[in-house]
Amino acid sequence: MYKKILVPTDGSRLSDRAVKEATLLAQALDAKLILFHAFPSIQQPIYAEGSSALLVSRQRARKAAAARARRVLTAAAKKAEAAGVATNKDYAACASPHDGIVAAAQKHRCDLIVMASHARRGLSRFLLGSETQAVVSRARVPVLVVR
Amino acid sequence: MFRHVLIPTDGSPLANKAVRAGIRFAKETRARITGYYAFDTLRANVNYGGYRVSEKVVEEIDRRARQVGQKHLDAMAKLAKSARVRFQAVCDKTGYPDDGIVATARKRKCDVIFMASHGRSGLSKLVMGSVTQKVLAHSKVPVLVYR
Repeated sequence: MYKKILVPTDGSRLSDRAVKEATLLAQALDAKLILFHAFPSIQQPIYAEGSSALLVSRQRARKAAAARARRVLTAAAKKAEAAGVATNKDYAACASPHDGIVAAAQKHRCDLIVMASHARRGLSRFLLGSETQAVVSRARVPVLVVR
Repeated sequence: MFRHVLIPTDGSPLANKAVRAGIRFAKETRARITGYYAFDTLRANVNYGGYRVSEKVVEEIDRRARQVGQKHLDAMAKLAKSARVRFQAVCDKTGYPDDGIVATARKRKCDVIFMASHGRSGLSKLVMGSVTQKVLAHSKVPVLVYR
């Protein structure tokens, strides 16, 4: 069945649930998890009213985002590995998270994506998050949506 | 892990993909399956050009619609049997298949739903089918979306 499962995570509580479900699934199917974190390639507005200069250089912003990505992924990997599931970690800067997720699924040849129905902006229980919806519409592989 | 898989079908080729995957999954994880089919027919008080549709006609249409559903469910049961997976079928009369799917998952205590991203009325590959979208929004259990 599924041998390589992509799990996008942003460190939010709901994506922790996705990691948990994916770990159980990987245990049952003897699969490997690819933990993935996407962050926007542009971290801040180029200029804001009254200030034309960047306060933080783009490079530094990117470094901070990569550090955060590693932190989030390491935390997720710890939980999965504690359950005896093999993991790989990857992160990427991308125009939008769903682009990154769909591309990562192809790059790592995953046969399933497990993701939360919402992430940071999850307010309503009765709507599907926009990123999740975009991934379900665009991914070539099945998507397990965890609530 | 998941012990009870709900597989809604409308008999379309894409739904069959989810059916096959669900059965394979259930076989591998020793889960059981509930197959689900929803049909909707005319209400008895519908008027056609001034003529009232007789109860008998409605009953006959219902009977035939149920037959079609039973055919799809029987096909699923056969596949499940050859995979030695426990199987139950639900053939439901409702105008709202998404509500029917979510309610059946709750009533039968299913812990995951395997379904296609589109069914019979699927037009575009880039958008999700309306039934799937509503199930994703309302389901309390994880939904595995096949495309």
